Amino acid sequence: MKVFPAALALAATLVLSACFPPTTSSPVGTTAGIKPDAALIGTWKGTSEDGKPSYFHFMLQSDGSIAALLVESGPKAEDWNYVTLTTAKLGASRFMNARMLLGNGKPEGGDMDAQPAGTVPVLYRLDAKGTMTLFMMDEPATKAAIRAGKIKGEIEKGEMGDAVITAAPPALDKFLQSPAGLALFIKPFFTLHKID
Amino acid sequence: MHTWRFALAALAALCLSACLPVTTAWPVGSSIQYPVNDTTIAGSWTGKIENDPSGATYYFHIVANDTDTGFTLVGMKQIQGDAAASWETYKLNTARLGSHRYFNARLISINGLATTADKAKLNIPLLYKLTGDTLTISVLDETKTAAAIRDKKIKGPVVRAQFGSDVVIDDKDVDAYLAKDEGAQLFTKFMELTRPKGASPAPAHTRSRRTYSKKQEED
Repeated sequence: MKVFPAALALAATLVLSACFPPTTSSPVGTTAGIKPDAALIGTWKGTSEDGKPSYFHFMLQSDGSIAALLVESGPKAEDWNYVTLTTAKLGASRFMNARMLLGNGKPEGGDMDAQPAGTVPVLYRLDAKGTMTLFMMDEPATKAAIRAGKIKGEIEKGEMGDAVITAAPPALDKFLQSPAGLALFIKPFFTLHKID
Repeated sequence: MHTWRFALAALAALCLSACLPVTTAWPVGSSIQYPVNDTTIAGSWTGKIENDPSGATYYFHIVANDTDTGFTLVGMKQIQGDAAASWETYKLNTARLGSHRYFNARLISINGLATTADKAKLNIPLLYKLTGDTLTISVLDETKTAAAIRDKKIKGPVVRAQFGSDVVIDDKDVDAYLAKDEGAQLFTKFMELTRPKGASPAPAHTRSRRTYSKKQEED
């Protein structure tokens, strides 16, 4: 499966198993309608769990998608990433469907025209104070859910194999509105505050 | 005619004569055999351009390249109330010439798309001063530079274009000239950036493992 560099998963670095985050073959929210969330647009700042500050710039695109620049900051800043994402609301939950396009200026997969397959679902919460918390699917929990038949998916061989949820949009959206689906988003990987 | 986006285009928009930024054929700092990149500028900066009618806020993220050949500047322009934003990346090297510090910037991409090969070759010299958490950036003043070229203090063409002049310094001794106060005085302040709250500066300088020249095509 495709490799997600540095940090869209500023996250991938946080996953205990050091694997890549689970993806879905269909975007989350197709049945509810995928629409850009205006609340995201602008500049946010946060700190990753390893203490590196980062800026997230969300920019609305003419096709309704959102482009995001994720840039490490601070004296040891080394990574920046360019991500495309769509957003949708399922019930009370908000989701991003994210794809990494550039990692430190280099195309994901080596070719800008070859879009990486699948998207990384990110659950995000906005509180009344304007804080945004981001969650990705926990890999072991997702694999367990696939193996238990709770959601259709594929798991690559080996301990470090990646998990891809292949359920069709109706089943996917229904699952992610259920307690079992939301329970896969265990640990926040970034907390951000809007600054502009 | 070049179409320079972003902060440099904002600068162009402010110039009464719709002038274009002055560029150099030779990268600033190319005379230094073992260039040292100034890591104290690494990290994030924010600011506005004085008298910019758009009122845009700029974020400049200076990120070290993993090959230790300088930095990538990821620049973001955001206008409040306008969902659209734009961003560009530049390859950035620093050089200390005499008592003056300079950036040499080369445009890499605009909104994620690689720039053209001819634009990628152009070197944009910028004078910078770092005072505490304030980074002041100055660009070459076209009128002063054209005058310096006409007075044979430095070499380069001054081309008559449809909208004012197109000034390019084409002098392999550009470093020697910019090391002097006279060379630094060709620059005009156009932006003052500050560290966002909570940001901290980097401590040390790093010595680049690579040198570069006019003809060397780096990443």
